[in-house]
Amino acid sequence: MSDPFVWRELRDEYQLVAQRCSSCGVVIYPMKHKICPKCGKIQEETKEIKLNPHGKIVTYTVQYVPGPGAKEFGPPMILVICDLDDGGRINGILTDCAPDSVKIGMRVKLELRSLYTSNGLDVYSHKFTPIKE
Amino acid sequence: MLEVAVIGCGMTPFGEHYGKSLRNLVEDAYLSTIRSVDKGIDPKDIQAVWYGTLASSWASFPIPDFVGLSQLPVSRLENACATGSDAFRNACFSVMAGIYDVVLVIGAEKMNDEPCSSLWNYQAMENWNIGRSMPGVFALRATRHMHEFGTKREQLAMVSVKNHHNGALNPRAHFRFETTVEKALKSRMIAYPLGLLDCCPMTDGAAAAIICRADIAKKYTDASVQVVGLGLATDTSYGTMTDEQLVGFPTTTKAAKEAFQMAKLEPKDVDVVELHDCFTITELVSYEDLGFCKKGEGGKFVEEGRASLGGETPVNPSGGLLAKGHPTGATGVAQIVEVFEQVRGQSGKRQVADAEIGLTHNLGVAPEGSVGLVTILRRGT
Repeated sequence: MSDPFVWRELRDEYQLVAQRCSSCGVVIYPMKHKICPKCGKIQEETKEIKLNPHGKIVTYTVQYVPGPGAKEFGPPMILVICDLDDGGRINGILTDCAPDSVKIGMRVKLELRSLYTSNGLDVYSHKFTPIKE
Repeated sequence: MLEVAVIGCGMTPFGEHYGKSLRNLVEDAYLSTIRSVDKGIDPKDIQAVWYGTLASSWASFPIPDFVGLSQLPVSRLENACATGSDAFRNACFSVMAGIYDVVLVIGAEKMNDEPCSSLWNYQAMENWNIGRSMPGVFALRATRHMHEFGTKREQLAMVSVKNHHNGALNPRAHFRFETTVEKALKSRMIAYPLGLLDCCPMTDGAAAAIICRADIAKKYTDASVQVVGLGLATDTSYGTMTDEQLVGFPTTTKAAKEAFQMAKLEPKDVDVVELHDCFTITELVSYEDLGFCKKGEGGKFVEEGRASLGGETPVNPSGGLLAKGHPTGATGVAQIVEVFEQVRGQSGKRQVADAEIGLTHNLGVAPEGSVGLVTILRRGT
């Protein structure tokens, strides 16, 4: 991935800034849109929101063969799709969790973590971690 | 709108063709297609070419040279893993519109020359790279389908067993071995719940078809195959994935609806299906998305043998992507090749008895979106 891409997306990624469609209310993340990808309504003004980082897992997989990209994505790696409590269905990595203990419905929280290093640039992003209850 | 007929189809055997270049593969597919035309065809009758490749060549440049037809209009088309059948679809449109009378479609991919590992490098355009593999992307759907509908890993394995059985009967399949549910379940875990035998291989290959205006088809063959339905749908869902997108591909449903409407047919009318089983879960959800059973009943559908050769709707008699292989740009065209031969009764040991109507389903998937394409073919009258 190019470094300008990382720079361009920095605020969304680090501060969990998202957008709520002024018409259908869907949470759009990442990226700002002038058109809602779900209902197609043109957004006259951007309705920025902060994501609530708490949510629960709706599905997961454990990759035992590494996917493409950085060596930091070594196996086993747990990938999840999560529904956040105040809206937003987010794809991400689940960390601090044993592969055999991940479950659908499990409570998780987004935390800022190191993702990988690119051309000497440390790239951070949010990863999901289990909430100890 | 003019009617379109397929008059010839051909393909290379699918496999790891380390000794063959893209040119060798395209030549072989093209020549077998020309030779499949019952009454023969002069290559000079071909007025245009649609060429589908995902990444094996740049633009349309190699084609006039490869097939020895300089100055032809060649359009190169790419639409993820649905590339081949979208090339076919656009070629059909050109004939329907009355622009050309005879058109060649080529799909080709030299997967094993590409600078990638066996898990294709896929990064969504507008999402940070988090190392997802293609098996991982589909596995996310499998886990959810199992959770929501009680689908079992054994039922996924049954898709693999069925398609490897069919592939063993197909001389052009990449893999020609049988397997068992037990072996599939014990195969090396790639992305839970998908093991190695739940995944298609990395395959080289090319396939081609010649289509023409239906009213001139008799010049070339007395057994042409009509293109009666075409449907395409695309969606993306960066951060807005719906519940339906977690357990299936709504683009398949939409494309099928469009194709069935155009053909004035229903799922129950279909005799033979070639669908996009890049992973076992993809075949299972596609039974549902195409309308052969209700959402959530895909596991039962395969378990009851309804998709087997001899079942009510035989699916992937060729062995599908799992056994025949998945050279991306060639895949959709090769599906057309299989259905063309099936409805003409030319499929040997894997022949579906008295198949008249066949459906192909080609699917392209990014982590959060898909391209669904459905084509319906019918034995000519």
